[in-house]
Amino acid sequence: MPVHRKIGTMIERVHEHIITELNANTRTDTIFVLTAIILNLITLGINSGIASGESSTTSTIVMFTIVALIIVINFVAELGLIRGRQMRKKLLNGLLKMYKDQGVEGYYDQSLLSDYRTRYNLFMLTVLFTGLIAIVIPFVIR
Amino acid sequence: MGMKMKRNIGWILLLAVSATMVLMPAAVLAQPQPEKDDLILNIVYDNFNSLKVGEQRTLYLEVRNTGYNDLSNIRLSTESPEGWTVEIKPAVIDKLAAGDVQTVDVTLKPAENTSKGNYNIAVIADAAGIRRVSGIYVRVESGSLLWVWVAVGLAVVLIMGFVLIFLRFGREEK
Repeated sequence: MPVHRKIGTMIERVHEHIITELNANTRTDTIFVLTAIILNLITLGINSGIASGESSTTSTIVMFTIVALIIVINFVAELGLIRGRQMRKKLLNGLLKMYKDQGVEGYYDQSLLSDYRTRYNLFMLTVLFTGLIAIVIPFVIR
Repeated sequence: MGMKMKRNIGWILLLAVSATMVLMPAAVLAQPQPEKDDLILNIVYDNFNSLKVGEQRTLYLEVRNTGYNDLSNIRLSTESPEGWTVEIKPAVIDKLAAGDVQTVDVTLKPAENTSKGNYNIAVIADAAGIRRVSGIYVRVESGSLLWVWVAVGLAVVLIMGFVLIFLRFGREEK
């Protein structure tokens, strides 16, 4: 097999690999965002229910345990999203380099990279604010 | 003729006995019964059944004599959660005529360490062998903003953590 043909096949495989990784990255980030938001809302419901009942030492301990869980979930989600964003950027940079080597870089708008960054930051803000609501509202009800 | 007359008298007697048997109980029931002495306690809520810790409220208790005799020396007392201040004024009603109503002030103040929740205060009236109990249902709300400040503190911790993680791990690699 000629060398240039072998390289072409390898580039195709690398391209497929990058696309697969990008898909997996998207799925993972979606799971992070949805899990964090759903868990925040569930804990909001549980803590609000506890807060509206009679206050006792047990209920206070349960509330603070759930608050600790909320904080951990939110930090984990944020870390996951930051890593996801960095991974996506690396994958897209590789893809862009590949397009450049092939002379087709003009078809991929470089501003998409900054769009992804904005989108990830918005996801993080959504997670943060649902977390804040899940913490604050039950204590206000109490 | 004599036989027929006797038979008619028999029927009339039977009718009279039957009518008496049927109407007697109704007539007895219709008679005004000499009722026992009785009291009714009625709490006048005035759209109020909640108060805050440290707050004092006065409710009105109506004591009604529903019996046929005057009642004297009606003693009023309460059973409340520990540490609560409950005052009844007057605590003794010297005389309450049959059919009369006397209004009594009941002043409530929860204990300082009362936690949020629902409480029941029993008001007891004792007079001449009659004992009547009525419950005052009160919901105690937290008077302090402690938990709001706790929430604000936790929210600040979450925001600070987010910012720190973002600054520490969020840098873009060139």
